[in-house]
Amino acid sequence: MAHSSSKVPIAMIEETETATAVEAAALLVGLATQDTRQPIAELGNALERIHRAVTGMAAAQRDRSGRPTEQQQEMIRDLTVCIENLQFHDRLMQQLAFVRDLLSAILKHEPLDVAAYGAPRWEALMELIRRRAPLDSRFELFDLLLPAQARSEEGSCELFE
Amino acid sequence: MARILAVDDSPSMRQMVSVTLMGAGHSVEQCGDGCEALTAAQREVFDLVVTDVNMPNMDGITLVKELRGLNSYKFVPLLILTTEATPERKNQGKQAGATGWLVKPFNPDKLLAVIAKVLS
Repeated sequence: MAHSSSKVPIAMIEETETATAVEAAALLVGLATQDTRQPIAELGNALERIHRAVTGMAAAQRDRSGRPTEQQQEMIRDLTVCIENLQFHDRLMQQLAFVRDLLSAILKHEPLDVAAYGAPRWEALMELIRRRAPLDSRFELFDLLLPAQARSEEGSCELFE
Repeated sequence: MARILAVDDSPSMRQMVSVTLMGAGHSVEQCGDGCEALTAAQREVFDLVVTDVNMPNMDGITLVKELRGLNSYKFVPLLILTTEATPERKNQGKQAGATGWLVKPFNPDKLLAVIAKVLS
């Protein structure tokens, strides 16, 4: 019987329906991941071309007058913002891949290899998730509960020796 | 300017690293996993390697270990660029022979500054 899931109380959903829903969710995540691959590749290519053009113009300008124009400097700053922020798509893909694997493991009743997400145990994984949660501005509550240090690692660099 | 090997299984990440490095005048070769990178590194000695950690076939930590095992890479800077930031993982990287550990998302100016520092 076809029905809108929004009208069905949770308690009435059968186990088989839950399994179907989990399978559908896993497929949907896979589809969403695949759907963004080409557009992001095109965006990256466009960004690369713009970057090459702008840095080329800036270099030519430097040859003539010693320094790039204010407008060129602004464009280079904007490109830096694009490069930095486009990396969040990569992070989203990693997280979606993990969710897809998690859903697949639930369906197959298999234990999930949390090490694939960089955590040796479930507790470590949950800690990782908690540490990442405050990165999103919508999770302001976490900011109140968790130390700011959790975010300080982002973009950090440590040289050994 | 340096010849740099950028290793990441994500094409968009590889592209962002390459765009940043090439914009600064470096020449970049890209590889999608540790195995591919090791083959490239055996074919040519790069001035610097920037690698992700979690990749198929061979992860970044193993790649660093393997590279350090090659005579030609004893003193080549090997930077790890990853989303991971736990002290345990950083220590694994250090023990493997990595020169430094950078956490994504990277800031292009900061990445270039670190590269200039380790190459000098």
